[in-house]
Amino acid sequence: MNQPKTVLSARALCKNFGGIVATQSVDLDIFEGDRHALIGPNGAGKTTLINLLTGVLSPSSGKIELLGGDISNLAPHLRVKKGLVRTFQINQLFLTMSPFETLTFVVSQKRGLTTQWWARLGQDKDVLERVQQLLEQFHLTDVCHQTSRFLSYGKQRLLEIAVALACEPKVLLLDEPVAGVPAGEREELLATVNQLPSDVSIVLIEHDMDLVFSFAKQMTVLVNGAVLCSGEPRDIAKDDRVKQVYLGHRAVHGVPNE
Amino acid sequence: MSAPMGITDVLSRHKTKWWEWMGVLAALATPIVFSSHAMMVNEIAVTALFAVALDLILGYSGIVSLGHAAFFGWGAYSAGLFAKHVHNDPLMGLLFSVISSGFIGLACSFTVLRGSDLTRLMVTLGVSLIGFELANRLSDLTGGADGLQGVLMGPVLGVFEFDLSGQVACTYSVGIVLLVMILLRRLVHSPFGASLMAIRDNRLRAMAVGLSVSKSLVVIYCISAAVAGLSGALLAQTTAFASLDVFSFERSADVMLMLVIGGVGWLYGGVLGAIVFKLIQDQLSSLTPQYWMFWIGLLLVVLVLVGRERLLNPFKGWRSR
Amino acid sequence: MLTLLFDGVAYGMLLFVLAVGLSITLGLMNFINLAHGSFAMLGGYAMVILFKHLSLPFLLCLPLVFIVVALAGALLERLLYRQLYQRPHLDQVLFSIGLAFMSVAAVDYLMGSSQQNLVLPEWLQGRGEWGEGAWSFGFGYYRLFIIGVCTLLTLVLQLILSKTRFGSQLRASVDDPTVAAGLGIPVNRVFLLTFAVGSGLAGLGGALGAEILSIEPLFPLKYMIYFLIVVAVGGTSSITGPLLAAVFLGVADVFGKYYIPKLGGFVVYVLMIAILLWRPQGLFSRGGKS
Repeated sequence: MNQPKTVLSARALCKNFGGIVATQSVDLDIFEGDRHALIGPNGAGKTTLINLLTGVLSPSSGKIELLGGDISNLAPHLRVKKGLVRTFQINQLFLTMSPFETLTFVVSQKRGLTTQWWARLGQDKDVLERVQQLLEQFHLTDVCHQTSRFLSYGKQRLLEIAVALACEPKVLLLDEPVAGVPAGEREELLATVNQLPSDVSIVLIEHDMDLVFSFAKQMTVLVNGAVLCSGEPRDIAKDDRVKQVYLGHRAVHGVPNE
Repeated sequence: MSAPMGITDVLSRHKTKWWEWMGVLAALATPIVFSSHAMMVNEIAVTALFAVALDLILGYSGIVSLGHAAFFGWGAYSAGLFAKHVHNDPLMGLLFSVISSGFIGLACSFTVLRGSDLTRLMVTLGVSLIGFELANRLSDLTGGADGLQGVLMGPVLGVFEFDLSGQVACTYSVGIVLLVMILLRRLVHSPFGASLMAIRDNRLRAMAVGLSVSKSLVVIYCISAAVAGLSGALLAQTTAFASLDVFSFERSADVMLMLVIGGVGWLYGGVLGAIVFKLIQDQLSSLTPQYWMFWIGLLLVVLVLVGRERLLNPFKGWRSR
Repeated sequence: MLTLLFDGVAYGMLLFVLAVGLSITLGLMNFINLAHGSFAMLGGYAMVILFKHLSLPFLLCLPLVFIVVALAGALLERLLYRQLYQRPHLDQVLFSIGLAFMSVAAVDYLMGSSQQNLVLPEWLQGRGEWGEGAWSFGFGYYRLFIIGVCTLLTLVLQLILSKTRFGSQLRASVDDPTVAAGLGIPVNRVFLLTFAVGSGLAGLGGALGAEILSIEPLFPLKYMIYFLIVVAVGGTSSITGPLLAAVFLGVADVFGKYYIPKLGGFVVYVLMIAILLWRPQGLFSRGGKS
């Protein structure tokens, strides 16, 4: 049996804030090459889970493993170095830098060049090649020298994902990538997300069901900080509990009736 | 693969500009051209370097420090005491001051990482006040309120004696300052410099791309402390004197004002601010000190109310954005 | 030794009254106001003018000073401080340093640079004895008075905060100004009143302590560090935090200066740094703001 390798897993992950239980004993398994959607109503704890996985928050209990190694207590930036990269729901960019500068910096950082204080930023040809590649992939070439603060929201969102990819992730956590993006720019973004390399495992938080069902190979439904159910999209769509949580008793939108 | 469109634009941002070369030449010329005002030029050079040291953490890394005079003061007294009791070669003294300041910076640096803005402010301020008190109380060693006297410097590089006109001193200072500025310029345009700006812009994001924020901040803090110590040492060596005011709060405040005038975050802001500040101070030196304080206060208030950004980076255009 | 303790507590409580306004301002408006000492200085000088030059009764002067300084605070808040609440801390620091400098220079010009001497009214001069043997200590009526007034003020403050409507509005505004405004709380007015009262208290502290503290133009700069220590160590989320910090500071300072005169003032700084390194959010804070 050819079981795909698990690249990221969480076991009995819990997070309490004082009396509030934000995350209840969550189990999560992401296999290599997965396209895993994480859905749930607002306030279900999806972003909290991402924050726990990336180390922004430390868990009250539970274990997290990345590529076979325990990262439960590892500092956030070290998790990134190991290949666990995320994007933010609200763009977190370096607003005074242009996309070109940002990506040059991130790629240099990835290649370990930031300890160099002598060389000029952008001197390395390999770095520049990679940056150009990313700019093209994310359709940012024509705005690559604009200060990020002045980019359109859609372009900023593209940059957000480009930055994550510049970190050469093994596991990529996308937190609502198309949220707030105007209709005209969504297609561009969706297409780019779809074209991400298949050896990168992707976890996607989304509310847009079209995107979720066209994209995901696996799904996990989170409600009130706990996993409601988990499995393939077709099965999730037919699950009565999910329908109840989301839409009352009507059929889940977008799924072809069987 | 051909270079991306616009690559030369980006690289050129980090290339040395024509006016930077002009600046270097001008700086080298000042000890000769303004030989009668040698001591003044000397003071400007020293203060400019101190301001730049503060800019490294204030402008480039976003850390508010009210007590940078601690390192300046340490540099001054350590250089003076080194010359008096150990060896009076200027360059050796400089080396000693720089390294020791860097170490003290290292010791203080973890305070910079923890706590809020207020905590950082307090600790940095506290350190400079401790420095002040120490220098004050250990008067057998430091001369207390009278200052450290009798600092006799040996000749620079064994050849150039410090003379009464101050020209050797001035050239010495300007030379060292130039050298350090060139090194710092390389630093801020390097990938490390970019990481500092990333931290300043968005610390969360910087962590999320794998940057060790703490390590970077500690490094820059040490460098900043070392450069501040260097400028203090230069002052003591070239004026053959060190007094308590090198630790004073006024000095920390003055140098912040210089950065506000000259602009933070573009390396030369400290230099510009120092020149403007010192020239004005010299012109108004006929006014008694307390009135000087009033005008400085007013300037600070007005500048803040008007908005620092409008006065920052008057030459923003060259940053090809 | 108990005498020293007594003196230290008096000094500490005085520091508390002086610094509590700063603590609330920082906690409420997230504004680092390094010119807080200027209000205290204003109080001290106002006291000198009212009591010494105009010969008004001591007990009348105190509330008068409070009102005068509170008005000054309200005026400055409305005109200047209000514009800077959203600014980064560096701007606030620079601005308030500027104000402090201006106040120092202005006072020097108007009142001269020498220290003002205040002669206490008859009924406050004098000392008493209490206890026997090793547990005896002498106390000055003046310091006793200070402790009394400060305790009263603390209780009143605590009552206002916990029992009155204004108090809950204030606490709501501290927790979250946006939500508070959304609930119809007049946040601007709350800020204005709080700033005024905080400054008024500083002024009152300056007046009350005019004999212990040195009332001179450099006052805001000399004592600024003490106020900041009280706030940084005591935190901004309670009244008791700064109170305890201030008393601790007062006692440490008095003891330090007595037992190790050579390095007296210095003890306080070292302690502060040690405490802040150990607990960067302050000893009593429930969680810091940056």
